[in-house]
Amino acid sequence: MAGNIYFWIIYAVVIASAIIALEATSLLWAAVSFVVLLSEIALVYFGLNMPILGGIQLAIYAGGVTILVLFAIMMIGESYRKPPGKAVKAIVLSLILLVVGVVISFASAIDTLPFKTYSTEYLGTVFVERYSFFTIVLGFIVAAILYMANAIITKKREAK
Amino acid sequence: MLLEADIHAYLFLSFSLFAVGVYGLLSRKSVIRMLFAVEMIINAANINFVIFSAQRNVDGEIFTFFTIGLAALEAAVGLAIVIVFYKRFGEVIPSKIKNLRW
Repeated sequence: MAGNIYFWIIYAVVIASAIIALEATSLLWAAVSFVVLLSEIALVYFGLNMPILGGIQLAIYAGGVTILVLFAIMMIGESYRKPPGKAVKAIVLSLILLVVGVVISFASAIDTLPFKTYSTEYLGTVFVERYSFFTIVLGFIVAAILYMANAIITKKREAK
Repeated sequence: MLLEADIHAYLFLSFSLFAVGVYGLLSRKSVIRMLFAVEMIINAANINFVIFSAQRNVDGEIFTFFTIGLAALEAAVGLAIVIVFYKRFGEVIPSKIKNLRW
């Protein structure tokens, strides 16, 4: 498990911002920490020579999803917060999952191959040749899900 | 390359983020934070896709595009449900969302 100093700095920022996003008292600061988390993951993608993916991560996650969450925070706030001190089981289970994952990662004898760099042209070619039909299906799924969200919000309560 | 790390280090990052997400989902502090936790779990899966894609073939990177899009939709629908629940009941308690039917 070797990495240079930049990787471990990014690791520390990712995990710290994830914990702050869950534990910060102010929900607004939690949202800011969430933006930091998503931007750092985009940095991981940029560091792996995947600039298109990093840009999409920044645009959709750090941009779109965060704006949605900020609107929700402004509309409803944190109307309910469970009292702290009852999270021991969750901490134990998540630590068990972490240990099991790391053990499986080392025991499965995955080799570190040299990292490849894909050009944008090759990425687009594979996307169109192999996944164009799936993209059409996904378009219908997107339309259906957005229609469902609209129906959920605008549906009036029926008289009994 | 700026980031020099082997695959086990990236997998450790992914598993750590997944563990934090599971903790956030199970401790259930509020609905918005549960949504944060779900997004963390999805991002951990995305890192797995991307790191194996960087070593083997480009399909994992393309699948991550789809995953990011669907995660944004999931956030939209989740927040829509939360806002409707707030309009209906005045507060959003995670364990009471089974009462959403009207």
